[in-house]
Amino acid sequence: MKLKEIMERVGITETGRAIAYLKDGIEELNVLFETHTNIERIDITKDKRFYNFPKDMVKVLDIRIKNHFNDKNEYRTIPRLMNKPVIKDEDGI
Amino acid sequence: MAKQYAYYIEGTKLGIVEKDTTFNNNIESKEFGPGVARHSWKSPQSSVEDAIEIKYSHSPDYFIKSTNTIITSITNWRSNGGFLQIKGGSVNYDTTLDVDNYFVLRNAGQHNGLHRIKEISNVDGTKDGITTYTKISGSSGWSTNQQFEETVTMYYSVDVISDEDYEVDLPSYLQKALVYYIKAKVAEDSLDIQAFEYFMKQYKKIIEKYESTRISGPRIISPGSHSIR
Repeated sequence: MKLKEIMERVGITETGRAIAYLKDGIEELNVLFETHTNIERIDITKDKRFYNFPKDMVKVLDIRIKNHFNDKNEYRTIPRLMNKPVIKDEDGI
Repeated sequence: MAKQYAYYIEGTKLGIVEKDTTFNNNIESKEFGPGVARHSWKSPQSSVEDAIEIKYSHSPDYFIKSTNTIITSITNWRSNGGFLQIKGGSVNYDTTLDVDNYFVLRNAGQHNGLHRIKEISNVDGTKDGITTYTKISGSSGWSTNQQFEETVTMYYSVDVISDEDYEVDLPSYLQKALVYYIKAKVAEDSLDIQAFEYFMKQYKKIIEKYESTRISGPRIISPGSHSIR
């Protein structure tokens, strides 16, 4: 369906407004139910605790790490800590 | 060697911690004895290439028309006056790209996603740097920690939502949900809250129905591995 057809069904004529709402709607949809997924791999650096998420990420579906509870280079899902660790990151990077 | 990791969210960042399993045999240390240090979550104890794998959903507000119309020579990024600038491969990008064109980056870590070209300028050679409209905070130098970790793929044959002829890249049933969403937002703008609630309900109902169409057979709730049996 083209944006023009969506605008006709809704009954609005302002294209800019329709584009803005369409983008919001697609993003909201991906929060509720993922339609497009991607996998990104990041290097772990020794003593570096914090890493950036990808810019286009809407929702995290899984976080896996190589060699977590195995030594076969398998990627396994890691748990989320309910409480932040008591040992502070030494260099804060 | 097997390791144990966990994560937590700190603001907009991902915190990765690893259990320190080294045995500290220093009798002077409070961590003396077996297993004491094992309860310590610390920053990662070693560097590992490609170790974190993040699976995520992204918003399809663009459509990649051709997946083989790509550039793979990008290697570095920096902040150019607060905007993301990328370079690599001593390639004259002016021959394939134009100002105000859109492109999508993949395998680019935090810079994954859609970008729009602000300027193509000289960095090391002729027209080998691309400045985008994407705001970025970082060093203005080409430092080593601002190199891309993977081979970045730049898709530049991209269609973005810019006019009424844009074909929405979603299954047709979900496109109907978008109609309800836009109707709801229009009703909200005119303070018609009853209509807003009705249309949002329809929007969510269509999404739920669509989700159900992808699951066949009965839905069975099974007890967890530690439950009483």
